[in-house]
Amino acid sequence: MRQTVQELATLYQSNLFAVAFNICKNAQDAEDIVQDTFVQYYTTRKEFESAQHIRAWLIRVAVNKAKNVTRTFWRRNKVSIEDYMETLIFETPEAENLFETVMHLPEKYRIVIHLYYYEDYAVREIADILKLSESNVKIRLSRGRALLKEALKEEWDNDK
Amino acid sequence: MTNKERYKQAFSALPSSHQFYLEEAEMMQIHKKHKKNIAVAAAIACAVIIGGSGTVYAADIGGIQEKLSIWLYGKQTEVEVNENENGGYTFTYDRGNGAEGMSVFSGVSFDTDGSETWLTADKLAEQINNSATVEKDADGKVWVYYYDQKQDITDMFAKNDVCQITMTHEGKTVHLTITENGNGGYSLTQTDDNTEPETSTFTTTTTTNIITTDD
Repeated sequence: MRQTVQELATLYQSNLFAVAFNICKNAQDAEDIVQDTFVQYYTTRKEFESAQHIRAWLIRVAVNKAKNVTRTFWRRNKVSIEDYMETLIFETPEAENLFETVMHLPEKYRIVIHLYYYEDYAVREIADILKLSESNVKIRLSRGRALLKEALKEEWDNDK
Repeated sequence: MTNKERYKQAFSALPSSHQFYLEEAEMMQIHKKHKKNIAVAAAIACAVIIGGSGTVYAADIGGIQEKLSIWLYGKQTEVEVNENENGGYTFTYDRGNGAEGMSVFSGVSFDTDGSETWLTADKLAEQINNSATVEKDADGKVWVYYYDQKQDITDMFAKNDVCQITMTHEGKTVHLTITENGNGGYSLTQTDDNTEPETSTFTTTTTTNIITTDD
């Protein structure tokens, strides 16, 4: 099956921006990544099995593109995460604290945490998107949670 | 409130509406440009040190064009510059101890209307000089270099694998945020007191891994 890019933009642009931002930590780069992700969808001839298949593919493409951006030696845009956060409006101080804490996690934990807590993906699905083993995803999830708990104390519950 | 609800609330602060180019002609134009960028990135994929004192043969087509003096690894270094077929330049230099280094650089400057211009070797050298670099040595120590300065930051990473330091050269102070990216490499973001956020007029890339995402 195929959906139009316009439909996908309506459905997923916020999610793709969030996942790209989660990795590259830069709004302009994240926007470029989402744009490129839609272009890649438009130009690929791939047929998809379902809407969920498309969604997972888009996220995987955005993740890979964002990783490429972080691997560039010189970053094109130079806005610190702290400066960018000043432009955002958080509902509560705790939300702002959580956002900042997540963004300071190592990338390998950050993206797994994001796919689990924001995209509601299961460990198996995260492993498929990131091309990791399930045990590796579990370890990263566990270590990421531990870091969040250590930093956020009572603002973060112990997950099983 | 569950952790998932907390997390979604926190990240709901990110902007939800963006202007993307979704019309066919617009996307095809971006696609064309993107293909060109991938070709460039693939062409600048090497930054290697070659042991011994043998001659380094770069994958270039133009022969030695010029010699430049730039700051590399904390030392003023004379480099041989060769233009390659992809619009970039191969810089070959002596790393000492009989080792020769070869780095391939390429860059594009963006005008205010979005048009791009390939950088000359001089402009690239200027950018290289102005930019700090990070490298892990054979002993596992992580060093940051900025002009003639060299600092061991191995033990300066916080628990979140981020190191933030400030370095100054001739009165100009730069703030460096170095992040361990989980793949054995480091991401470096450099700002100075005059950096204007939203201004993006220069980009230089040394990419070492291009991931294809067609499956």
